[in-house]
Amino acid sequence: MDNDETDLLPGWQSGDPAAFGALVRRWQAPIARFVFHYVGRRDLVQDLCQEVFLRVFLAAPRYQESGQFSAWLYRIALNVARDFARRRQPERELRQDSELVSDSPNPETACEQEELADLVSRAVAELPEPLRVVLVLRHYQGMNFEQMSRMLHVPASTLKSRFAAALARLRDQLAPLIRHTEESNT
Amino acid sequence: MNCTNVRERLPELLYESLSLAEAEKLNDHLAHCLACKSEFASLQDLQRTLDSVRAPDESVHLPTLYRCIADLHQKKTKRWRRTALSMAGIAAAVIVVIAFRLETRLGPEQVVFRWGTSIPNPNSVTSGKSDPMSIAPTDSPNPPASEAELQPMRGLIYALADDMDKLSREVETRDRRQQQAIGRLQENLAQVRIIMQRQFNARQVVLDSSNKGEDQ
Repeated sequence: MDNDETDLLPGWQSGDPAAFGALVRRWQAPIARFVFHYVGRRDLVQDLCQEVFLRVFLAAPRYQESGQFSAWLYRIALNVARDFARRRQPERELRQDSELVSDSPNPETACEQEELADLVSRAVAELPEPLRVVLVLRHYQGMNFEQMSRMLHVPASTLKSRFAAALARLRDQLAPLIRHTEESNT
Repeated sequence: MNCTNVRERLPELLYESLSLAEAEKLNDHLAHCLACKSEFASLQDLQRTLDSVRAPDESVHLPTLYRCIADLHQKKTKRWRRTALSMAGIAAAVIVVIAFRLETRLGPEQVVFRWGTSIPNPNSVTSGKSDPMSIAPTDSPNPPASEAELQPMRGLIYALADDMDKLSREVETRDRRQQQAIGRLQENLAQVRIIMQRQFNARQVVLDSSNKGEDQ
Protein backbone atom coordinates (compact mmCIF):
# COMPACT_ATOMS: atom_id res chain seq x y z
CA MET A 1 0.00 0.00 0.00
CA ASP A 2 2.87 2.31 0.83
CA ASN A 3 5.10 1.45 -2.08
CA ASP A 4 3.38 3.91 -4.36
CA GLU A 5 4.48 6.97 -2.44
CA THR A 6 7.93 6.03 -1.21
CA ASP A 7 9.48 8.07 -4.01
CA LEU A 8 7.25 11.04 -3.16
CA LEU A 9 8.03 11.20 0.55
CA PRO A 10 11.50 12.83 0.37
CA GLY A 11 10.17 15.53 -1.97
CA TRP A 12 7.14 16.13 0.25
CA GLN A 13 9.33 16.41 3.34
CA SER A 14 11.65 18.89 1.67
CA GLY A 15 8.67 21.09 0.72
CA ASP A 16 8.37 20.21 -2.97
CA PRO A 17 4.81 21.26 -4.01
CA ALA A 18 4.75 18.77 -6.89
CA ALA A 19 5.46 15.84 -4.55
CA PHE A 20 2.88 17.06 -2.07
CA GLY A 21 0.30 17.50 -4.86
CA ALA A 22 0.95 13.96 -6.05
CA LEU A 23 0.51 12.62 -2.50
CA VAL A 24 -2.77 14.48 -2.14
CA ARG A 25 -4.07 13.11 -5.44
CA ARG A 26 -3.03 9.61 -4.42
CA TRP A 27 -4.73 9.71 -1.03
CA GLN A 28 -7.63 12.14 -1.31
CA ALA A 29 -10.22 9.49 -2.29
CA PRO A 30 -9.43 7.01 0.54
CA ILE A 31 -9.29 9.84 3.10
CA ALA A 32 -12.56 11.32 1.84
CA ARG A 33 -14.15 7.87 2.12
CA PHE A 34 -12.83 7.42 5.64
CA VAL A 35 -13.98 10.79 7.00
CA PHE A 36 -17.37 10.47 5.30
CA HIS A 37 -18.13 7.08 6.85
CA TYR A 38 -16.74 8.19 10.20
CA VAL A 39 -18.75 11.43 10.52
CA GLY A 40 -21.70 10.42 8.29
CA ARG A 41 -22.05 13.85 6.65
CA ARG A 42 -21.40 14.45 2.95
CA ASP A 43 -21.39 18.23 3.29
CA LEU A 44 -18.37 18.17 5.60
CA VAL A 45 -16.11 15.84 3.67
CA GLN A 46 -14.38 18.54 1.63
CA ASP A 47 -13.57 20.70 4.64
CA LEU A 48 -12.34 17.76 6.71
CA CYS A 49 -10.14 16.52 3.84
CA GLN A 50 -8.65 19.99 3.50
CA GLU A 51 -7.92 19.95 7.23
CA VAL A 52 -6.31 16.49 7.02
CA PHE A 53 -3.95 17.47 4.21
CA LEU A 54 -3.20 20.80 5.83
CA ARG A 55 -2.02 18.92 8.92
CA VAL A 56 -0.09 16.50 6.71
CA PHE A 57 1.74 19.41 5.08
CA LEU A 58 2.56 21.03 8.40
CA ALA A 59 3.63 17.75 10.02
CA ALA A 60 6.01 16.82 7.18
CA PRO A 61 9.21 17.63 9.11
CA ARG A 62 8.10 15.42 12.00
CA TYR A 63 7.31 12.36 9.89
CA GLN A 64 9.85 9.57 10.25
CA GLU A 65 9.90 7.12 7.38
CA SER A 66 9.17 3.63 8.66
CA GLY A 67 7.18 2.20 5.78
CA GLN A 68 3.87 3.05 7.45
CA PHE A 69 2.86 6.26 5.74
CA SER A 70 -0.75 5.11 5.35
CA ALA A 71 -1.11 4.34 9.07
CA TRP A 72 0.37 7.76 9.89
CA LEU A 73 -1.98 9.44 7.44
CA TYR A 74 -5.06 7.60 8.75
CA ARG A 75 -4.09 8.57 12.29
CA ILE A 76 -4.14 12.22 11.24
CA ALA A 77 -7.48 11.73 9.51
CA LEU A 78 -8.85 10.00 12.60
CA ASN A 79 -7.69 12.88 14.81
CA VAL A 80 -9.36 15.40 12.52
CA ALA A 81 -12.59 13.38 12.50
CA ARG A 82 -12.50 12.95 16.28
CA ASP A 83 -11.90 16.69 16.79
CA PHE A 84 -14.90 17.38 14.61
CA ALA A 85 -17.03 14.81 16.47
CA ARG A 86 -16.09 16.41 19.81
CA ARG A 87 -17.05 19.85 18.52
CA ARG A 88 -20.46 18.71 17.30
CA GLN A 89 -21.26 16.54 20.34
CA PRO A 90 -23.80 18.99 21.86
CA GLU A 91 -25.50 19.29 18.46
CA ARG A 92 -25.79 15.50 18.17
CA GLU A 93 -27.22 15.14 21.64
CA LEU A 94 -29.89 17.69 20.83
CA ARG A 95 -30.74 15.95 17.57
CA GLN A 96 -30.91 12.54 19.24
CA ASP A 97 -33.41 13.86 21.78
CA SER A 98 -35.73 15.33 19.19
CA GLU A 99 -35.38 13.15 16.09
CA LEU A 100 -34.25 9.68 17.00
CA VAL A 101 -37.70 8.09 16.90
CA SER A 102 -38.61 9.55 13.53
CA ASP A 103 -35.17 8.68 12.12
CA SER A 104 -35.51 4.92 12.59
CA PRO A 105 -35.35 3.10 9.25
CA ASN A 106 -38.76 2.94 7.67
CA PRO A 107 -38.89 0.77 4.53
CA GLU A 108 -42.06 2.43 3.32
CA THR A 109 -40.51 5.86 3.10
CA ALA A 110 -36.89 4.95 2.54
CA CYS A 111 -37.46 3.58 -0.93
CA GLU A 112 -34.97 5.73 -2.73
CA GLN A 113 -31.42 4.50 -2.85
CA GLU A 114 -30.11 7.81 -1.62
CA GLU A 115 -32.36 7.76 1.41
CA LEU A 116 -31.34 4.20 2.21
CA ALA A 117 -27.70 5.13 1.97
CA ASP A 118 -28.33 8.10 4.18
CA LEU A 119 -29.98 5.95 6.84
CA VAL A 120 -27.14 3.42 6.72
CA SER A 121 -24.43 6.06 6.94
CA ARG A 122 -26.19 7.68 9.86
CA ALA A 123 -26.49 4.35 11.64
CA VAL A 124 -22.75 3.84 11.18
CA ALA A 125 -21.96 7.36 12.31
CA GLU A 126 -23.97 6.84 15.48
CA LEU A 127 -22.13 3.71 16.54
CA PRO A 128 -19.95 4.12 19.65
CA GLU A 129 -16.59 5.51 18.57
CA PRO A 130 -14.43 2.43 19.29
CA LEU A 131 -16.80 0.22 17.24
CA ARG A 132 -17.23 2.77 14.48
CA VAL A 133 -13.55 3.30 13.80
CA VAL A 134 -12.93 -0.45 13.47
CA LEU A 135 -15.94 -0.94 11.21
CA VAL A 136 -14.98 1.95 8.93
CA LEU A 137 -11.34 0.92 8.68
CA ARG A 138 -12.17 -2.73 8.05
CA HIS A 139 -15.24 -2.51 5.84
CA TYR A 140 -14.72 0.72 3.91
CA GLN A 141 -10.94 1.03 3.92
CA GLY A 142 -10.13 -2.69 3.68
CA MET A 143 -7.53 -2.47 6.43
CA ASN A 144 -6.65 -5.74 8.17
CA PHE A 145 -6.63 -6.14 11.95
CA GLU A 146 -2.84 -6.18 12.24
CA GLN A 147 -2.56 -2.84 10.44
CA MET A 148 -5.33 -1.41 12.59
CA SER A 149 -3.62 -2.72 15.71
CA ARG A 150 -0.37 -0.91 14.80
CA MET A 151 -2.25 2.25 13.99
CA LEU A 152 -4.58 2.37 16.99
CA HIS A 153 -2.25 0.68 19.51
CA VAL A 154 -5.01 -1.77 20.43
CA PRO A 155 -4.56 -5.59 20.34
CA ALA A 156 -5.89 -7.24 17.19
CA SER A 157 -8.07 -9.62 19.23
CA THR A 158 -9.82 -6.64 20.86
CA LEU A 159 -10.35 -5.07 17.45
CA LYS A 160 -11.88 -8.32 16.13
CA SER A 161 -14.34 -8.39 19.03
CA ARG A 162 -15.23 -4.75 18.44
CA PHE A 163 -15.75 -5.43 14.76
CA ALA A 164 -18.10 -8.34 15.51
CA ALA A 165 -19.99 -6.17 18.02
CA ALA A 166 -20.32 -3.35 15.47
CA LEU A 167 -21.73 -5.74 12.86
CA ALA A 168 -24.20 -7.24 15.36
CA ARG A 169 -25.39 -3.82 16.45
CA LEU A 170 -25.83 -2.59 12.88
CA ARG A 171 -27.61 -5.75 11.84
CA ASP A 172 -30.16 -5.28 14.63
CA GLN A 173 -30.56 -1.60 13.95
CA LEU A 174 -30.86 -1.93 10.18
CA ALA A 175 -32.87 -5.18 10.12
CA PRO A 176 -36.05 -3.62 8.65
CA LEU A 177 -34.00 -1.83 6.03
CA ILE A 178 -32.06 -4.98 5.11
CA ARG A 179 -35.30 -6.96 4.72
CA HIS A 180 -36.71 -4.25 2.50
CA THR A 181 -33.58 -4.19 0.35
CA GLU A 182 -33.67 -7.93 -0.06
CA GLU A 183 -37.37 -7.85 -1.02
CA SER A 184 -36.83 -5.13 -3.60
CA ASN A 185 -33.87 -7.02 -5.05
CA THR A 186 -35.86 -10.27 -5.50
CA MET B 1 -16.32 -26.77 16.43
CA ASN B 2 -19.57 -25.76 18.09
CA CYS B 3 -22.01 -23.07 16.95
CA THR B 4 -20.82 -20.46 19.49
CA ASN B 5 -17.23 -20.71 18.25
CA VAL B 6 -18.36 -20.60 14.66
CA ARG B 7 -20.56 -17.53 15.14
CA GLU B 8 -17.74 -15.66 16.84
CA ARG B 9 -15.63 -16.15 13.74
CA LEU B 10 -18.27 -15.49 11.10
CA PRO B 11 -17.26 -11.82 10.64
CA GLU B 12 -13.69 -12.94 9.89
CA LEU B 13 -15.01 -15.49 7.42
CA LEU B 14 -17.19 -12.84 5.81
CA TYR B 15 -14.28 -10.43 5.42
CA GLU B 16 -11.82 -13.17 4.43
CA SER B 17 -9.52 -12.68 7.38
CA LEU B 18 -9.08 -16.40 8.08
CA SER B 19 -6.53 -18.84 6.82
CA LEU B 20 -7.69 -21.32 4.20
CA ALA B 21 -7.79 -24.17 6.71
CA GLU B 22 -9.88 -22.20 9.20
CA ALA B 23 -12.22 -20.99 6.48
CA GLU B 24 -12.67 -24.55 5.30
CA LYS B 25 -13.62 -25.71 8.80
CA LEU B 26 -16.21 -22.97 9.15
CA ASN B 27 -17.65 -23.62 5.69
CA ASP B 28 -18.00 -27.32 6.58
CA HIS B 29 -19.96 -26.35 9.68
CA LEU B 30 -22.17 -23.94 7.73
CA ALA B 31 -22.92 -26.63 5.17
CA HIS B 32 -24.88 -28.69 7.66
CA CYS B 33 -25.97 -26.09 10.34
CA LEU B 34 -28.98 -24.10 9.19
CA ALA B 35 -28.95 -21.69 12.16
CA CYS B 36 -25.32 -20.69 11.60
CA LYS B 37 -25.92 -20.53 7.87
CA SER B 38 -28.81 -18.15 8.43
CA GLU B 39 -26.65 -16.05 10.73
CA PHE B 40 -23.97 -15.88 8.06
CA ALA B 41 -26.52 -14.94 5.43
CA SER B 42 -27.77 -12.06 7.59
CA LEU B 43 -24.19 -10.81 7.88
CA GLN B 44 -23.78 -11.04 4.12
CA ASP B 45 -26.97 -8.98 3.72
CA LEU B 46 -25.59 -6.40 6.11
CA GLN B 47 -22.32 -6.30 4.17
CA ARG B 48 -24.23 -5.62 0.95
CA THR B 49 -26.28 -2.94 2.68
CA LEU B 50 -23.15 -1.25 3.97
CA ASP B 51 -21.70 -1.43 0.46
CA SER B 52 -24.71 0.46 -0.86
CA VAL B 53 -23.39 3.62 0.75
CA ARG B 54 -21.11 5.44 -1.65
CA ALA B 55 -18.73 8.09 -0.40
CA PRO B 56 -18.76 11.42 -2.25
CA ASP B 57 -16.07 11.96 -4.86
CA GLU B 58 -14.56 14.94 -3.17
CA SER B 59 -11.20 16.22 -4.19
CA VAL B 60 -8.91 18.47 -2.26
CA HIS B 61 -8.63 21.93 -3.81
CA LEU B 62 -4.88 22.42 -3.76
CA PRO B 63 -4.85 26.22 -4.38
CA THR B 64 -7.17 26.69 -1.38
CA LEU B 65 -4.95 24.41 0.67
CA TYR B 66 -1.84 26.38 -0.29
CA ARG B 67 -3.64 29.63 0.58
CA CYS B 68 -4.48 28.20 4.03
CA ILE B 69 -0.85 27.20 4.47
CA ALA B 70 0.31 30.68 3.42
CA ASP B 71 -2.15 32.28 5.86
CA LEU B 72 -0.89 30.07 8.65
CA HIS B 73 2.72 30.93 7.85
CA GLN B 74 1.82 34.62 7.81
CA LYS B 75 0.12 34.36 11.21
CA LYS B 76 3.08 32.43 12.56
CA THR B 77 5.50 35.06 11.24
CA LYS B 78 3.43 37.87 12.78
CA ARG B 79 3.29 36.05 16.09
CA TRP B 80 7.05 35.46 15.97
CA ARG B 81 7.66 39.13 15.15
CA ARG B 82 5.46 40.27 18.03
CA THR B 83 7.29 37.94 20.39
CA ALA B 84 10.68 39.13 19.14
CA LEU B 85 9.67 42.78 19.59
CA SER B 86 8.42 42.11 23.11
CA MET B 87 11.65 40.33 23.99
CA ALA B 88 13.71 43.19 22.54
CA GLY B 89 11.69 45.68 24.61
CA ILE B 90 12.23 43.69 27.77
CA ALA B 91 15.95 43.33 27.00
CA ALA B 92 16.25 47.09 26.39
CA ALA B 93 14.49 47.83 29.69
CA VAL B 94 16.82 45.46 31.54
CA ILE B 95 19.87 47.10 29.92
CA VAL B 96 18.62 50.58 30.89
CA VAL B 97 18.04 49.46 34.48
CA ILE B 98 21.46 47.82 34.73
CA ALA B 99 23.47 50.44 32.82
CA PHE B 100 21.92 53.58 34.37
CA ARG B 101 21.19 52.00 37.74
CA LEU B 102 17.61 53.14 37.37
CA GLU B 103 15.74 53.34 40.62
CA THR B 104 11.98 53.54 40.85
CA ARG B 105 10.37 54.71 44.04
CA LEU B 106 6.66 54.99 44.68
CA GLY B 107 5.85 57.74 47.16
CA PRO B 108 2.52 58.71 48.68
CA GLU B 109 1.87 61.38 46.01
CA GLN B 110 4.62 60.82 43.48
CA VAL B 111 6.47 58.23 41.47
CA VAL B 112 10.20 58.85 41.29
CA PHE B 113 12.45 57.50 38.53
CA ARG B 114 16.07 58.18 39.22
CA TRP B 115 19.32 56.89 37.79
CA GLY B 116 22.92 57.05 38.88
CA THR B 117 24.32 56.37 42.37
CA SER B 118 21.83 56.64 45.16
CA ILE B 119 21.78 59.76 47.39
CA PRO B 120 20.54 59.86 50.93
CA ASN B 121 16.88 60.43 51.41
CA PRO B 122 16.47 63.95 52.90
CA ASN B 123 13.74 62.68 55.22
CA SER B 124 16.07 60.16 56.70
CA VAL B 125 18.91 62.62 57.59
CA THR B 126 18.89 63.38 61.28
CA SER B 127 19.70 66.86 62.55
CA GLY B 128 22.28 67.48 65.26
CA LYS B 129 25.89 68.42 65.59
CA SER B 130 27.09 65.07 66.66
CA ASP B 131 26.34 63.34 63.29
CA PRO B 132 24.69 65.65 60.79
CA MET B 133 25.10 63.11 57.94
CA SER B 134 23.76 60.02 59.62
CA ILE B 135 21.58 58.19 57.11
CA ALA B 136 18.64 55.98 57.85
CA PRO B 137 18.60 52.56 56.18
CA THR B 138 17.30 52.85 52.62
CA ASP B 139 16.22 50.44 49.91
CA SER B 140 19.46 50.96 48.04
CA PRO B 141 20.27 47.90 45.93
CA ASN B 142 23.94 48.08 46.96
CA PRO B 143 24.31 49.81 50.37
CA PRO B 144 28.01 49.05 51.15
CA ALA B 145 29.15 50.60 47.86
CA SER B 146 27.04 53.74 48.41
CA GLU B 147 28.36 54.15 51.97
CA ALA B 148 31.94 53.97 50.76
CA GLU B 149 31.24 56.50 48.03
CA LEU B 150 29.60 58.82 50.56
CA GLN B 151 32.54 58.84 52.99
CA PRO B 152 34.67 61.58 51.27
CA MET B 153 31.57 63.67 50.75
CA ARG B 154 30.73 63.35 54.42
CA GLY B 155 34.27 64.49 55.46
CA LEU B 156 34.00 67.50 53.16
CA ILE B 157 30.68 68.48 54.65
CA TYR B 158 32.07 68.12 58.19
CA ALA B 159 34.97 70.46 57.28
CA LEU B 160 32.58 72.97 55.71
CA ALA B 161 30.38 72.87 58.79
CA ASP B 162 33.43 73.56 61.04
CA ASP B 163 34.49 76.46 58.81
CA MET B 164 31.01 77.91 58.99
CA ASP B 165 31.02 77.68 62.79
CA LYS B 166 34.47 79.35 63.01
CA LEU B 167 33.41 82.08 60.60
CA SER B 168 30.21 82.82 62.46
CA ARG B 169 32.16 83.00 65.75
CA GLU B 170 34.63 85.49 64.22
CA VAL B 171 31.80 87.61 62.87
CA GLU B 172 30.16 87.64 66.28
CA THR B 173 33.45 88.70 67.97
CA ARG B 174 34.00 91.40 65.40
CA ASP B 175 30.47 92.72 65.87
CA ARG B 176 30.94 92.78 69.59
CA ARG B 177 34.20 94.72 69.28
CA GLN B 178 32.68 97.22 66.92
CA GLN B 179 29.76 97.69 69.28
CA GLN B 180 32.23 98.39 72.12
CA ALA B 181 34.17 100.88 69.97
CA ILE B 182 30.98 102.68 69.05
CA GLY B 183 30.04 102.83 72.75
CA ARG B 184 33.43 104.29 73.61
CA LEU B 185 33.18 106.88 70.82
CA GLN B 186 29.74 107.85 72.02
CA GLU B 187 31.06 108.30 75.56
CA ASN B 188 34.02 110.42 74.29
CA LEU B 189 31.66 112.50 72.21
CA ALA B 190 29.44 113.16 75.24
CA GLN B 191 32.49 114.22 77.33
CA VAL B 192 33.68 116.52 74.51
CA ARG B 193 30.23 118.04 74.34
CA ILE B 194 30.22 118.62 78.10
CA ILE B 195 33.69 120.20 77.96
CA MET B 196 32.78 122.45 75.08
CA GLN B 197 29.60 123.44 76.86
CA ARG B 198 31.63 124.36 79.93
CA GLN B 199 34.12 126.32 77.86
CA PHE B 200 31.30 128.14 76.14
CA ASN B 201 29.69 128.96 79.42
CA ALA B 202 33.01 130.22 80.84
CA ARG B 203 33.63 132.42 77.84
CA GLN B 204 30.08 133.68 78.08
CA VAL B 205 30.74 134.68 81.70
CA VAL B 206 33.94 136.38 80.72
CA LEU B 207 32.22 138.25 77.90
CA ASP B 208 29.39 139.32 80.15
CA SER B 209 31.79 140.69 82.79
CA SER B 210 33.84 142.57 80.20
CA ASN B 211 30.72 144.17 78.78
CA LYS B 212 29.67 145.23 82.24
CA GLY B 213 33.14 146.88 82.82
CA GLU B 214 32.90 148.87 79.59
CA ASP B 215 29.45 150.13 80.49
CA GLN B 216 30.59 151.30 83.84
